[in-house]
Amino acid sequence: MNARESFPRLLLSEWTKLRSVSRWVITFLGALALTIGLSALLASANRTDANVHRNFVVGPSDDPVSDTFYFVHQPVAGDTTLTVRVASVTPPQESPDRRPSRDESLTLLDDPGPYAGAAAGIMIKDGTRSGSSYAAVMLTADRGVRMQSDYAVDHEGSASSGTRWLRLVRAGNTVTGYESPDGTNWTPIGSLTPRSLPSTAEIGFYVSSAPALYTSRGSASSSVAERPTTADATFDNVTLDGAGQWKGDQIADENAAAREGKGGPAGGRLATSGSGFTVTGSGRVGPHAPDDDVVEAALIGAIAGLMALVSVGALFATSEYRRGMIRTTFAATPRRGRVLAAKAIVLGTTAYAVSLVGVVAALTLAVPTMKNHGFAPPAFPTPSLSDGPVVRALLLTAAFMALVSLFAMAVGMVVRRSAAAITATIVLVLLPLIVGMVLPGTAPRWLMYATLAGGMATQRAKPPTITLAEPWAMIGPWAGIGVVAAYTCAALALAWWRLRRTDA
Amino acid sequence: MTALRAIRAEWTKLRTLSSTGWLLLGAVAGTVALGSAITGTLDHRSCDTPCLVDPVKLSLAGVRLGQVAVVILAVLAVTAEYATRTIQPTLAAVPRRTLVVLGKLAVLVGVALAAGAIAVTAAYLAAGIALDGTGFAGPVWSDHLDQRAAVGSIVYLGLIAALAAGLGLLLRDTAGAITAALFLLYGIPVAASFLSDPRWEHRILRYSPMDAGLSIQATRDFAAEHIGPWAGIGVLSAYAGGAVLLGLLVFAIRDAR
Amino acid sequence: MEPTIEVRALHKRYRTTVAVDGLSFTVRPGEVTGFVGPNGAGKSTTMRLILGLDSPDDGAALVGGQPYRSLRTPLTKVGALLDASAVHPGRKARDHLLWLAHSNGIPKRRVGEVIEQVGLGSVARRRAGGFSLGMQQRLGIAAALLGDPPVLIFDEPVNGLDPDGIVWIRVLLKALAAEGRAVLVSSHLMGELEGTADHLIVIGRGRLVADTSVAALLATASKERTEVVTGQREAATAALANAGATVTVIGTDTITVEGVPGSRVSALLTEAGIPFSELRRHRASLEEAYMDLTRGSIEYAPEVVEGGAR
Repeated sequence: MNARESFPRLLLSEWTKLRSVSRWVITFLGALALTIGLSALLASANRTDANVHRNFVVGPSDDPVSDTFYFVHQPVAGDTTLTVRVASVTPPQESPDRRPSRDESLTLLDDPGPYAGAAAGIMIKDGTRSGSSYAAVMLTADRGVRMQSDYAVDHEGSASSGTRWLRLVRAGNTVTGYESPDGTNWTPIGSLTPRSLPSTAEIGFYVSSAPALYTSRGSASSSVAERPTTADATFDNVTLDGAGQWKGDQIADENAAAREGKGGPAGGRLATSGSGFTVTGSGRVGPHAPDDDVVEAALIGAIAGLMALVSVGALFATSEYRRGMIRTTFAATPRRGRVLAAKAIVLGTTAYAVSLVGVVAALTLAVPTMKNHGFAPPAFPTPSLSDGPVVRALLLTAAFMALVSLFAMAVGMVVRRSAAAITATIVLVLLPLIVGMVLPGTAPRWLMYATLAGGMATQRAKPPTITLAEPWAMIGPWAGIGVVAAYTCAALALAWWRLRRTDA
Repeated sequence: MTALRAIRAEWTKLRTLSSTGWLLLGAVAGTVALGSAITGTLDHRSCDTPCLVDPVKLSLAGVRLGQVAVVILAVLAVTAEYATRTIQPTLAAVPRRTLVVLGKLAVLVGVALAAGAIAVTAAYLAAGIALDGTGFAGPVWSDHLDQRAAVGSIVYLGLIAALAAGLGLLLRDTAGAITAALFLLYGIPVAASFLSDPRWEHRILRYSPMDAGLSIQATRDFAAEHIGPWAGIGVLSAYAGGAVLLGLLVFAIRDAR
Repeated sequence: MEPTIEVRALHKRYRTTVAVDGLSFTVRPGEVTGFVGPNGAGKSTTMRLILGLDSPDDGAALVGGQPYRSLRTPLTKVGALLDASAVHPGRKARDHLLWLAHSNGIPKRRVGEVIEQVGLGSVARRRAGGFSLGMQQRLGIAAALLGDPPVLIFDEPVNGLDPDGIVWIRVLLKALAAEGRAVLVSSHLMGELEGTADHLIVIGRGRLVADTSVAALLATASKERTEVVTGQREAATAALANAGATVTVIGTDTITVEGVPGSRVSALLTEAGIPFSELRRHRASLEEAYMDLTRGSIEYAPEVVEGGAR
């Protein structure tokens, strides 16, 4: 008796139940085919012109970046030290004549990232070409003191926003940043090595002010408008080893400026006041990849595969209640909690394996097609199976699919009707997405945190954004899978409770 | 005469199941609840002038939820006959397959239209209350566009019933038919939203049954719609008609098992 | 309409298995026709074909000379019980009959009448999902009787019925036939039809094995067999065997004798001086007759027996 009840045997018996229904096996294969097929199909319909009409420059590591600001600089050869006091920096301000025209209903986006907002700081840079290598220490209007380099590395300093002393020391290829409240007591922020720093580099102080992003989303589409902003900063006590003549330049992408005519960045200004400088700057220094995500688009088929897995999950549970099979099951294994656990493990593992094969194949098949359709470097670095975020997206998407299948099974155990279980699950996954696409602004974010739809966020390899029509892009992948896992655990707990409480 | 009997028999079948009442109640409640939840969050102050938000369309957005109950009702009306094997007495009583399908469709579409009429009326009334004080004007009964949106939404629900019943006939399986119906309705727009190319997104949404069918709800900002109001209803009708015809064909050819 | 069922050279194949293979027979009014064969012989398939639920690959099944699918109000022509569990569990028994009545324009009062007739009056407003097998069977019979049809088809009607129910249905079947209706009743157990069926159609593997009246079948099977009760069983066995008879011991003091006429048995025993208390013509049970028939037919040559049995 004990031998018969051992858990591995129970697993084996549930596995036999699952694989012996040819309809379910076909549905599993169907889930695989749907995942791969829909991905491949839509990959051939997906096109982008992001590389043709560029709104970025190519950074030192061939990534799309934004590099626009006002730079007061001079060339310095070899090791050097620059010290300034930033007396003040204003928050970004939109010029009155450039406010969004009143005929569009737009929402101002709040970008919490370290590269947004206004910054006043000191920088050492490989020439004045937009997109070249750099290292900088800056005082921001509302993000404290930071040290950054090459559009990718960001170190946090103090949270100060008032008057601050900043210092940048070059020693060989290494640049070290310091900050100080009084010019006497210095705290190091970080030591960075920009990718290419020539022996004679441009060094100086600068002001950037990231454009305000307005988005209009809803009605299944989205658009983003950038409005240039400016910020003013006052620098004094400028000390540089071997000082020469300061020269003010607007760093900008000439191509973009030429293409957009007058729509280029608002020009910066340099004014000397006594021993200090007042600088007005505009533009943003930081990564600037399109929000569209190749990995997400290549995994599109997961949504179709998911629906097939939902029906298997629900039927795996509800079929027990047809023709009283559950009585046979419980007669064979009277401990009902273990039956539920065995069912969950068998279904979850199978669904995960099928999903993982599906998403890996979908990505492998869809990426070359998409590459031919404009999703190519530099705007879209080709995803590789060795990239951390790509692997995360694959593993989490498969987990999302398997967990939703488990959720359907648990709901099936509770309601005992396949129609109800399937509908409840699919509606919880898909309806919030539909409603979220219709709802304007950032309102859909809470929907993503509150429903299974949030799991869609697992498909993104890029950070969350609110500039896209798809509402799941608003939350991160871990938050998304967390929501789904919480739902599944709750449903399984309910199923367990109901199994113990009620008669078969 | 025989057709009327077939319809009457299907009506008796439908009304003698307690699930029918609950599902129709769900269709109305879902439509009203989601619609007023959305209109309740609107605020005219956060909208620029001229404001393109369409309060009438949003007050009917609950149809997207309410239709789920209609889908389940229509699918079950067909597939439960196979699951419970009542298809045997059904065909013994009415051997002509077209009559059975006609009876089912007439009853299901009729019931969906009736529920739709109640749901849309209630959604308009609820929107009038929810929009009070938001600065937006609620639906106006005498307005031609508001009338069109209301009638279109009711017709939409009727067509959804036909589409779901057709899928049920085609697949004979509750799980399969519901999954297929929900994928057609929800899966297509979600999949389309993955596309970066707005032209392709437009093409797909133009021919997706839900987005095309519901474009008739627009009462302003028609440029944002992917297809014209009645053309959209036409697209949905094509889906529903295709599913019903294919279903009928399969039903007529295959043995009743 | 002449209340008959005619099956003509019917063929039906499901994927790789041949379910019905050239079956022909006629069910006549005024008698109960038993439709017998082992499980899987094709009885239910034949009935589904008669009701137009499945389409035959070849041949035809006619009810009153017409294909079932062409009937306008079929429930008033043919009543059928195929699968008693084919009821929506969420629907009340009365409502199940009500929609059937509506579908054929049968007046509503018939619903109440047939419910009372099958003895479900007290549970008419209960959901069919909670019904026992026997109650489901009665509900199925009520549905068959609803249109007061001249032709009735019952597939295994005694399944799940208690002994009272079995007696009830036998009486019912006989009464229906006595009213001049054609009644076709299937069973995989010949014994169930004993005393009920007037005519038998026996099939095996989709083919006709026998189409015979019960009386004729019993006569064939009982022919040339004598039962002897004697205190000296062994002596009697030896004496009869010597005279060329086949003797089978069926009890401590009972034997059956084959191959020798009954009058000769009496003479032989008297000659040998063996006392016997009883000597009677053996009357085969329908079950035995059927076993004889199928043993000889299904395993060896059905065609030959078919011809012989006619």
